[in-house]
Amino acid sequence: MSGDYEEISVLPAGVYRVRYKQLTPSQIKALRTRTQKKLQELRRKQNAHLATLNEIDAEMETVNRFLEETQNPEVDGYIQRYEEQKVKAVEKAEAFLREFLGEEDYEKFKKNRFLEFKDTNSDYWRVYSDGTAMRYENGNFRRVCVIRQRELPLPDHIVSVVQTIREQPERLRNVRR
Amino acid sequence: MEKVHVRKLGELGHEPLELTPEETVRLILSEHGRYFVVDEATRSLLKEVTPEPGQRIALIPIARGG
Repeated sequence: MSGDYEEISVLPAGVYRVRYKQLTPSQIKALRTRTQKKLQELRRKQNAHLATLNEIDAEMETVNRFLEETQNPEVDGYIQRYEEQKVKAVEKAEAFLREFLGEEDYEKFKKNRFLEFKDTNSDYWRVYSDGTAMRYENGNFRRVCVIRQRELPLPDHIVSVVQTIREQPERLRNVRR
Repeated sequence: MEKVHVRKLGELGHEPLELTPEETVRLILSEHGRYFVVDEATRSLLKEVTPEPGQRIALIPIARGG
Protein backbone atom coordinates (compact mmCIF):
# COMPACT_ATOMS: atom_id res chain seq x y z
CA MET A 1 0.00 0.00 0.00
CA SER A 2 1.35 3.33 -1.03
CA GLY A 3 1.72 6.10 1.53
CA ASP A 4 1.50 8.71 -1.24
CA TYR A 5 -1.22 11.31 -1.15
CA GLU A 6 -2.02 14.67 -2.57
CA GLU A 7 -3.82 17.78 -1.44
CA ILE A 8 -4.85 21.22 -2.58
CA SER A 9 -3.24 24.09 -0.68
CA VAL A 10 -4.72 27.55 -0.82
CA LEU A 11 -2.03 30.06 -0.07
CA PRO A 12 -1.85 33.86 -0.41
CA ALA A 13 0.37 33.42 -3.49
CA GLY A 14 -2.02 31.02 -5.22
CA VAL A 15 -3.69 27.64 -5.18
CA TYR A 16 -1.41 24.60 -5.32
CA ARG A 17 -1.87 20.92 -5.96
CA VAL A 18 0.74 19.20 -3.83
CA ARG A 19 1.75 15.58 -4.23
CA TYR A 20 3.56 13.80 -1.43
CA LYS A 21 5.60 10.74 -2.23
CA GLN A 22 6.52 8.38 0.55
CA LEU A 23 10.13 7.29 0.46
CA THR A 24 11.31 3.84 1.32
CA PRO A 25 14.53 3.54 3.36
CA SER A 26 16.46 2.44 0.26
CA GLN A 27 15.13 5.45 -1.66
CA ILE A 28 16.18 7.68 1.20
CA LYS A 29 19.67 6.13 1.13
CA ALA A 30 19.84 6.53 -2.66
CA LEU A 31 18.73 10.14 -2.35
CA ARG A 32 21.39 10.73 0.30
CA THR A 33 24.05 9.17 -1.96
CA ARG A 34 22.98 11.30 -4.93
CA THR A 35 22.93 14.41 -2.79
CA GLN A 36 26.38 13.64 -1.37
CA LYS A 37 27.73 13.06 -4.89
CA LYS A 38 26.24 16.32 -6.06
CA LEU A 39 27.83 18.08 -3.10
CA GLN A 40 31.21 16.47 -3.88
CA GLU A 41 30.91 17.53 -7.51
CA LEU A 42 30.15 21.08 -6.46
CA ARG A 43 33.16 21.04 -4.10
CA ARG A 44 35.40 19.77 -6.92
CA LYS A 45 34.18 22.58 -9.17
CA GLN A 46 34.75 25.08 -6.39
CA ASN A 47 38.31 23.77 -5.84
CA ALA A 48 39.07 23.89 -9.57
CA HIS A 49 37.95 27.50 -9.70
CA LEU A 50 39.96 28.27 -6.58
CA ALA A 51 43.04 26.67 -8.16
CA THR A 52 42.53 28.71 -11.32
CA LEU A 53 42.03 31.83 -9.25
CA ASN A 54 45.21 31.06 -7.29
CA GLU A 55 47.13 30.58 -10.57
CA ILE A 56 45.77 33.87 -11.91
CA ASP A 57 46.71 35.61 -8.64
CA ALA A 58 50.26 34.23 -8.84
CA GLU A 59 50.60 35.25 -12.49
CA MET A 60 49.26 38.72 -11.76
CA GLU A 61 51.81 39.08 -8.99
CA THR A 62 54.63 38.15 -11.40
CA VAL A 63 53.32 40.48 -14.11
CA ASN A 64 52.95 43.31 -11.59
CA ARG A 65 56.50 42.75 -10.40
CA PHE A 66 57.79 42.84 -14.00
CA LEU A 67 55.84 46.01 -14.66
CA GLU A 68 57.26 47.66 -11.54
CA GLU A 69 60.79 46.56 -12.48
CA THR A 70 60.45 47.98 -15.99
CA GLN A 71 59.06 51.23 -14.71
CA ASN A 72 61.78 52.12 -12.26
CA PRO A 73 63.81 55.31 -12.78
CA GLU A 74 66.98 53.36 -13.60
CA VAL A 75 65.26 51.67 -16.54
CA ASP A 76 63.68 54.97 -17.63
CA GLY A 77 67.15 56.52 -17.59
CA TYR A 78 68.52 53.70 -19.72
CA ILE A 79 65.70 54.11 -22.28
CA GLN A 80 66.27 57.86 -22.41
CA ARG A 81 70.02 57.43 -22.94
CA TYR A 82 69.38 54.81 -25.63
CA GLU A 83 66.90 57.06 -27.46
CA GLU A 84 69.31 60.00 -27.31
CA GLN A 85 72.10 57.80 -28.63
CA LYS A 86 69.82 56.65 -31.44
CA VAL A 87 68.99 60.23 -32.45
CA LYS A 88 72.71 61.05 -32.51
CA ALA A 89 73.40 57.89 -34.52
CA VAL A 90 70.81 58.92 -37.12
CA GLU A 91 72.33 62.42 -37.30
CA LYS A 92 75.80 60.96 -37.81
CA ALA A 93 74.47 58.48 -40.34
CA GLU A 94 72.77 61.28 -42.30
CA ALA A 95 76.02 63.27 -42.33
CA PHE A 96 77.87 60.19 -43.54
CA LEU A 97 75.27 59.56 -46.27
CA ARG A 98 75.84 63.12 -47.50
CA GLU A 99 79.59 62.60 -47.47
CA PHE A 100 79.26 59.18 -49.12
CA LEU A 101 77.01 60.32 -51.99
CA GLY A 102 78.75 63.64 -52.51
CA GLU A 103 76.98 66.99 -52.34
CA GLU A 104 75.48 66.87 -55.85
CA ASP A 105 73.98 63.37 -55.60
CA TYR A 106 72.85 64.03 -52.03
CA GLU A 107 70.92 67.13 -53.12
CA LYS A 108 69.32 65.16 -55.97
CA PHE A 109 68.47 62.36 -53.58
CA LYS A 110 66.81 64.74 -51.14
CA LYS A 111 64.91 66.55 -53.91
CA ASN A 112 63.70 63.47 -55.86
CA ARG A 113 63.51 61.14 -52.84
CA PHE A 114 65.48 58.58 -54.82
CA LEU A 115 68.90 58.16 -56.36
CA GLU A 116 69.27 56.65 -59.83
CA PHE A 117 72.49 55.07 -61.01
CA LYS A 118 73.95 52.22 -63.04
CA ASP A 119 75.67 49.16 -61.61
CA THR A 120 78.70 47.40 -63.05
CA ASN A 121 76.43 45.40 -65.40
CA SER A 122 74.94 48.66 -66.76
CA ASP A 123 71.58 47.91 -65.11
CA TYR A 124 69.72 50.97 -63.88
CA TRP A 125 68.79 51.12 -60.24
CA ARG A 126 66.86 53.42 -57.97
CA VAL A 127 67.36 53.56 -54.24
CA TYR A 128 64.58 55.42 -52.47
CA SER A 129 64.69 57.52 -49.33
CA ASP A 130 62.73 54.84 -47.45
CA GLY A 131 65.53 52.35 -48.17
CA THR A 132 63.78 50.36 -50.91
CA ALA A 133 65.64 49.50 -54.10
CA MET A 134 64.30 49.03 -57.63
CA ARG A 135 65.96 47.65 -60.74
CA TYR A 136 64.96 48.61 -64.27
CA GLU A 137 63.88 45.63 -66.34
CA ASN A 138 61.41 45.09 -69.17
CA GLY A 139 60.48 48.73 -69.30
CA ASN A 140 59.74 49.17 -65.60
CA PHE A 141 61.48 49.69 -62.31
CA ARG A 142 60.77 46.61 -60.20
CA ARG A 143 61.30 46.42 -56.50
CA VAL A 144 63.97 44.01 -55.30
CA CYS A 145 64.03 42.30 -51.93
CA VAL A 146 66.44 43.85 -49.48
CA ILE A 147 66.59 42.80 -45.85
CA ARG A 148 66.84 45.80 -43.59
CA GLN A 149 69.30 45.11 -40.81
CA ARG A 150 67.59 45.50 -37.48
CA GLU A 151 68.19 48.82 -35.78
CA LEU A 152 70.52 50.07 -38.52
CA PRO A 153 69.74 53.79 -38.93
CA LEU A 154 67.96 54.44 -42.24
CA PRO A 155 70.74 56.59 -43.76
CA ASP A 156 73.23 53.79 -42.99
CA HIS A 157 70.90 51.28 -44.62
CA ILE A 158 70.75 53.47 -47.73
CA VAL A 159 74.56 53.69 -47.82
CA SER A 160 74.72 49.92 -47.44
CA VAL A 161 72.23 49.31 -50.29
CA VAL A 162 73.88 51.80 -52.65
CA GLN A 163 77.35 50.41 -51.97
CA THR A 164 76.16 46.82 -52.42
CA ILE A 165 74.49 47.63 -55.75
CA ARG A 166 77.58 49.46 -56.93
CA GLU A 167 79.95 46.66 -55.99
CA GLN A 168 78.00 43.41 -55.84
CA PRO A 169 74.59 43.86 -57.51
CA GLU A 170 74.22 40.10 -57.86
CA ARG A 171 73.50 40.01 -54.11
CA LEU A 172 70.18 41.78 -54.75
CA ARG A 173 68.73 39.86 -57.67
CA ASN A 174 65.35 38.76 -56.38
CA VAL A 175 62.45 40.86 -57.51
CA ARG A 176 59.65 41.26 -55.01
CA ARG A 177 56.47 39.42 -56.05
CA MET B 1 102.19 56.86 -33.73
CA GLU B 2 99.10 58.07 -35.52
CA LYS B 3 96.22 55.63 -35.58
CA VAL B 4 93.85 54.50 -38.29
CA HIS B 5 90.44 56.14 -37.95
CA VAL B 6 87.79 53.48 -38.39
CA ARG B 7 84.08 54.15 -38.67
CA LYS B 8 81.92 51.06 -38.40
CA LEU B 9 78.30 51.53 -39.41
CA GLY B 10 75.98 49.73 -37.08
CA GLU B 11 73.06 49.79 -34.70
CA LEU B 12 74.20 52.73 -32.61
CA GLY B 13 77.27 53.09 -34.72
CA HIS B 14 79.58 55.76 -35.95
CA GLU B 15 81.51 55.69 -32.74
CA PRO B 16 84.98 56.36 -34.09
CA LEU B 17 87.57 53.68 -33.42
CA GLU B 18 91.22 54.65 -33.25
CA LEU B 19 93.23 51.55 -34.06
CA THR B 20 96.74 50.64 -35.04
CA PRO B 21 97.10 49.29 -38.61
CA GLU B 22 97.48 45.79 -37.17
CA GLU B 23 94.35 46.11 -35.04
CA THR B 24 92.50 47.46 -38.07
CA VAL B 25 93.49 44.44 -40.16
CA ARG B 26 92.40 42.11 -37.37
CA LEU B 27 89.02 43.87 -37.10
CA ILE B 28 88.45 43.74 -40.85
CA LEU B 29 89.41 40.08 -41.06
CA SER B 30 87.10 39.23 -38.17
CA GLU B 31 84.22 40.86 -40.07
CA HIS B 32 85.21 39.24 -43.35
CA GLY B 33 82.39 39.08 -45.87
CA ARG B 34 80.02 41.24 -43.87
CA TYR B 35 81.37 44.72 -44.61
CA PHE B 36 82.74 46.72 -47.49
CA VAL B 37 85.95 48.48 -46.54
CA VAL B 38 85.90 51.97 -47.99
CA ASP B 39 88.50 54.71 -47.94
CA GLU B 40 86.60 57.76 -46.75
CA ALA B 41 88.85 60.25 -48.49
CA THR B 42 88.48 58.74 -51.96
CA ARG B 43 85.18 56.91 -51.33
CA SER B 44 86.74 53.95 -53.10
CA LEU B 45 86.46 50.33 -52.11
CA LEU B 46 89.64 48.88 -50.64
CA LYS B 47 90.19 45.49 -52.21
CA GLU B 48 93.36 44.83 -50.24
CA VAL B 49 93.51 45.83 -46.61
CA THR B 50 96.73 47.61 -45.89
CA PRO B 51 95.67 50.49 -43.67
CA GLU B 52 98.07 53.29 -43.05
CA PRO B 53 98.33 55.57 -40.04
CA GLY B 54 96.05 58.57 -40.43
CA GLN B 55 93.86 56.84 -43.00
CA ARG B 56 90.10 57.12 -42.52
CA ILE B 57 88.25 53.90 -43.18
CA ALA B 58 84.54 53.11 -43.15
CA LEU B 59 83.10 49.64 -42.73
CA ILE B 60 79.80 49.54 -44.59
CA PRO B 61 77.51 46.55 -44.03
CA ILE B 62 76.86 44.49 -47.16
CA ALA B 63 73.12 44.51 -47.88
CA ARG B 64 71.38 41.16 -48.11
CA GLY B 65 68.64 40.26 -50.53
CA GLY B 66 65.54 38.40 -49.51
